[in-house]
Amino acid sequence: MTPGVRKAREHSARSKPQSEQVVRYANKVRNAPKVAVRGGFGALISDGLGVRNLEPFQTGRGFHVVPEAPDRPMSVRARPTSPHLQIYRWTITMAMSILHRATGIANYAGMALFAIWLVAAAMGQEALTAVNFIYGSWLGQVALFGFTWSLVHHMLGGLRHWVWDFAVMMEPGQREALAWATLAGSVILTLLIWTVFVWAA
Amino acid sequence: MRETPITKTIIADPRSHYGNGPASTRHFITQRVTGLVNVVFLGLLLFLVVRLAGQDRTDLVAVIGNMVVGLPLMVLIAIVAVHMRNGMRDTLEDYFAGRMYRLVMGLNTFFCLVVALAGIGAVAKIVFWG
Repeated sequence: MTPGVRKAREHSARSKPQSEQVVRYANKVRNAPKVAVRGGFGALISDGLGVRNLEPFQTGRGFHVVPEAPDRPMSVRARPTSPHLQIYRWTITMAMSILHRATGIANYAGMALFAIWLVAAAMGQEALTAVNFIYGSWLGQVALFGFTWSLVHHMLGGLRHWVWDFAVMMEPGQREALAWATLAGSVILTLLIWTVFVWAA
Repeated sequence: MRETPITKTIIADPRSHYGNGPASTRHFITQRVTGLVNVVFLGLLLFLVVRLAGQDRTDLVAVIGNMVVGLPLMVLIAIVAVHMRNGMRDTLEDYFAGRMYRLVMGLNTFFCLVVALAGIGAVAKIVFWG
């Protein structure tokens, strides 16, 4: 047996108990209650046994440990330069926050549609007829339906911020309920507006 | 376009301050107040679009040309433009800094100004000159 091979065997024998420890740790984490901290920065988490390559958000319970990691030489993954969307567990409040900004930007652009309509009306019947034709087309109607939902959602999101400004409805559960209410309310209100004023009119 | 890096020395220095405090508070309050007023705008917009979508110009002038509708509409369009510029500023601050920020912020102001002037001008034309 060459010294190199002996060294390798000794190494693997030494690392065996450690790998069992890591698996135990992994099971412990996996069985941890759901409140366990999730996430972090996606790559390297020290567990006191050395730094391991861990992937967050795989199991929905604590961290998911890559199965091969304990028996392999430590695999090092580059850290993401900035924590961003793909490394966070999606929450409804986060989704509504993003949607609030997205609908805000959509409304920003959509206001131009309203301005164009008014300018066409000011210019004369011909221009107004042309704009009415475009807005009345199926593409225009889809855009206006989206614009309606966007406006309603942004309004409800803004009102939710007003509620939060009074430091109420911020507790766990409450804020999620409020976020779901924004989403459900915006869809219901939009469908109601279009049903009453467009489809049934 | 990168913002100036915040070092440990800057953080440790108690005299450090980040951005303009009073302006930020003003920005926040402006956004909330204009946002609340926009609920009224949304109602008026809904009324106008529902009432006038696809209608002829005479019908439109009869509704928007009415001072009771036209004058509040002009004021509300101006408030919406303020809210638009303020809100887009939040987004731009998140992704741009320095000269690039000033450039996109200028474009933002320009767009909001154009929308506001076009909208208010059109309504004024309908209200005062038919």
